[in-house]
Order: sequence, then C-alpha cells, then structure tokens
Amino acid sequence: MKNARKSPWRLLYKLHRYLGLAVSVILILLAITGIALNHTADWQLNSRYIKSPTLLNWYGVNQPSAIRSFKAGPHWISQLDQQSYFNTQALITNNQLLVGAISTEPFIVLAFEKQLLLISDNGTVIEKIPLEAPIDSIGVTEPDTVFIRLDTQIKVSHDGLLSWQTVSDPSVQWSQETALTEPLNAQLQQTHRQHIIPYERFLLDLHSGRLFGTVGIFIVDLSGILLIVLTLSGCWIWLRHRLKSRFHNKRLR
Amino acid sequence: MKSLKLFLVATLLWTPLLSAEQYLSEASFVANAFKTPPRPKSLWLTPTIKPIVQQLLQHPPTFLRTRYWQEQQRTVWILEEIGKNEPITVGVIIDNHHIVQLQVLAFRESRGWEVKHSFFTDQFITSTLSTEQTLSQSIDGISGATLSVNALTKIAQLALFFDQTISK
Repeated sequence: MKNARKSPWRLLYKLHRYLGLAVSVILILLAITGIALNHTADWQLNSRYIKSPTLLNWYGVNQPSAIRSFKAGPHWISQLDQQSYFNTQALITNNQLLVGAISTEPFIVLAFEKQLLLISDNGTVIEKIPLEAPIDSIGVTEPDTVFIRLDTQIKVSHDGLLSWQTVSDPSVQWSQETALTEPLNAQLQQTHRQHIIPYERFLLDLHSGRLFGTVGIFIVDLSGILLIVLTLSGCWIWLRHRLKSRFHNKRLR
Repeated sequence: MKSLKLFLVATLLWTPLLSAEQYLSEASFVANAFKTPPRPKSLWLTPTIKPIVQQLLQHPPTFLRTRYWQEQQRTVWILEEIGKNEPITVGVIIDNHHIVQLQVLAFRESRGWEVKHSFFTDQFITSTLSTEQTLSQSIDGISGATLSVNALTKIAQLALFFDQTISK
C-alpha cells in the first residue's frame, strides 16, 4: 500500500491534477482575452476607452501638462497632448501643434503647424488640408476670407480654402490663444483622461501579463511552461491507460 | 570625398521638407499630372453620394468634402484610407475614366509598406469601375500587407467613383 502511494504514476497523477488547478485561472483569463483580441475591430475595442479611475491611476495616466485653446465663434477649440477637441468632443489625434482656430461662414477651421482641419459647426470633419510649409497663425476678415501666416509671407484664400494667394501685410484679426473657462477646463481634463487607454491596450497588457509588471509577465510565462508540462503529463496518462486496457482485454481473451 | 560631403549636406537640407513617412508631396504629385496644374475644385459628399462612398469604404466616410484637379478628361484625386491604424495617402490620376497612375504619397503604418512599390501599384493601371462599383481587373494581394492592399483598392474604387460622379 505504501509502495503504491509512492509510485511514479501516482506522483504523475497528482502533478497533473494540481498543475491543472494552478494554471486553470490564468488559462481561462488568457483564453477570454485572446478571443476578445481576435475581435478587436468587430467589438470596436481600439476605439472604446477605459474610463475607470482605478485603472487609469494604475496606468499612471495623469492630467495633461499643457492645454492650448482658441475661441472660434461661440465654440472652443482645444489641444491636450496630441488630442484636439471641439468644445468637449474629441476630434483628431496628431503630432502637430494647434496654432489657431477661426470661425467662417460655412465652417470652422483648425490650424495645425502643417495642416488645416475644416469642421462643421456641429464638429463633423469636412476635410483635412495638408500644407506645404509650416504656419504660425490663422486669421479671418470677412466671413469667407481666411489668412494664414507663414514664416516670411501671408497667404489668403477667398474660395473655401481651395487655393491661396500671397498678400502683403493685411489688417487681420489673428487667432489668439485664450484660456478656457474653469468649468470647461475641468470637464475637458476629465474627458481627455478617459480618452487615452483603449480597451485593446488593456486586454493586450492583461493577456501578456504586462498589466502587473515583471511579475505578471513571469506568471504568464510560467503558465505557458506549466501548460506544456500539463499537456505532456496528460498524454502520458492517456497512453498508460490505453496500453493497460489493451493488455487487460488480451488477458481476458 | 568633397562630393560625398556635398551629398550629405544636400540630403540633410532636403530631409526636413518631407516628413519621415512622406514619399512625395501632394503639390508635386499634382504638378506631375498636368503641364500647368489647374485650380483645385471640391466635391461634397451629398446625401446621394454618401451611402455609395460608405459602401465602397465599408465604413462611414471621415470627410464631407474632397478636392480634385481637372483638365478635360483628366482628373487627379488625393485620398486617404486607414490600413490598420494610420491613414495611407494615395494620389490617383484618372484619364477618360481609366486609372493611369496610382501612387502612395505617404505611408504611416508600421507594416504593409510593400504596397508603395510600383510592382503592386502598376496593377491598378487601366482599371475602370464596373456597374457593381468594383474594379474591372483583379488585384493580386501581398502576404502580410492585406489591410494596406484593401485600403489602396478602396481608394482606387473611390477615385473612379468620384470621377464618374463629376462627369455626370
């Protein structure tokens, strides 16, 4: 009886059982996150963002250091980090600095260093217009006359930003950076913080264990190794049973 | 040695003019398409056009107006479509409703850049748009660049559709 308990087969059974129990939780987590990551586009996981303050704190997402804001008619155009906002509505992400914003008769124009972004008065993107040279500022005189100031020259467009002509020193009201009102500033900061970590990033970090730092990666790696051991021990046990039953059947015949 | 130095200086001076991912500026592409580039025109996505654009792109369009350049039967379109995460900027020259040139102007994705080469883009030359809004000729894909290939195919279809729209 004592020998049977100490036999290598019994040890293998025990090892298989406890290894299975130990890695089951991690494997279920890996399976769920793996399935979700396979459907990133279908479930829009790359365009939906983590809003939980606990998780955002865990990621170390802080308030943005600098906010640039401009008044365009009755609307506020702001840039926090690389994200631009129309009032509190997220518009586009780019690496260029917002240098101004104006309101014209048909649309609102956001001026970035090398791009103009046309939006409607409800924040719908109309067109992105790339610029050949970086601009310093944007200004407007009549409802549809838009000026841009480059390093050495000023250009004007009278046809809805389709073409530009060089002009000399016009009297233009250039867009000026304006401080946001306190309530809007607070609301924007909160909106911005909740628009940084997409669910896809969170699931990837959970899947790889990176969410918990080096320890998390070690646990996921160890689970992978244990899964290999588990598979081999399972095959071994199955093979033993199969051979044993065959031998038993032969003896009966 | 002197010429090498000159070359390095010239390279350093020219580099900032084009961003890291931009192969050709939009102005240069338009200038190459015409002897004298015409003034740009704009096409608005009206409620009639928008559903077809959405069908071609397989998602709602992210713009309401696009600019184009036209001289007689020749039109030039500069359009953007996202491959996986970042937009790919493509210039398309259409003559008499046939694509005569399709060129990647800016590629910002980390993978799938093979689509910028002419061995791939030349497949679009002479393509037209069928009544089912598909390209008249099949486009061979590139392994590992499926999303970029799809983006360029959609842009080709869209440019041909816009070209048909303005000629109606």
